[in-house]
Amino acid sequence: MTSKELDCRVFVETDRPLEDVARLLAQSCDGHVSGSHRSRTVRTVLGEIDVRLNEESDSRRVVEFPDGFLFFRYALEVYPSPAVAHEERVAFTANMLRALWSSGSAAVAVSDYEPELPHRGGYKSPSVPWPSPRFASEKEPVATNR
Amino acid sequence: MEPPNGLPQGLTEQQFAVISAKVRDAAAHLAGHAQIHGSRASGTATADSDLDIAILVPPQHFGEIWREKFGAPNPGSAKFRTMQHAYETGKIQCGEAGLRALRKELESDLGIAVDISIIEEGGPFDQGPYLPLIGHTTEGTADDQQRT
Repeated sequence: MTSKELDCRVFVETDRPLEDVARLLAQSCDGHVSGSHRSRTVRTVLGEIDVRLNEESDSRRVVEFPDGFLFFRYALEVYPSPAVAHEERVAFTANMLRALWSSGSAAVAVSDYEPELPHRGGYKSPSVPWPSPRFASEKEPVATNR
Repeated sequence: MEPPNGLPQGLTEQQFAVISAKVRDAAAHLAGHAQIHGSRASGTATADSDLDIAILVPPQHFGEIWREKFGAPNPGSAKFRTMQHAYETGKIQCGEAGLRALRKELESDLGIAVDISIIEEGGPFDQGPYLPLIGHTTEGTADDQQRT
């Protein structure tokens, strides 16, 4: 059983397919993946992460710093189990962010505990991956460290 | 352009009746008018398309829900920016709206992705065409009609 309340949303920009993002998260938190091709749920002992396409994804706006995160390709929703303590929730999200950043993905966390996360969740941080400017071709943006 | 049978593209009448009842029940507390929109309402869906459900609410009520759902995040935070974005676009997404359980149930029933949002009437995302849920007119539910 998980909380009905959204604990944290993480916007992610990467050229990896949704399935790969879900698998990466599952590996980072010892979870397993279920769901259809347009959305996946990663189930762990601490809660669930819905991995979904961001309905407002806009490949031209993702490069805008710092607010382009609103248009990243994926939107993850974190729903912890009710008994999970605040510190564990923060550690869970922090672990997820580190896994995403380590893979070269741009990721920004949206939550009430952003100040407790590494790089304050990534928003406005010059130290985490960010999508590079799009070329004149239709090539998808690629996350790079700035 | 709308699907000729008045149903969301790709759904049977029975499926539409079932999800209509579930949406009405689960979203009743939001006091909005739930409608199907997007490609399955316009008849342009592909096999991969999701089912978009808008719960339309008047601007004042949208503001009340918006404040309740986002609370008071720290100015300058990503959450604060997300809150501003929701206000600017007149759209509160499923997770923030507390409708995840409904979304999962509908996805399980239909086998397709479902997106549910609270949309401000007259706002940037209030764009048809819409298909009203079964038993739900653009003026309210059938029960509402009987009461008036």
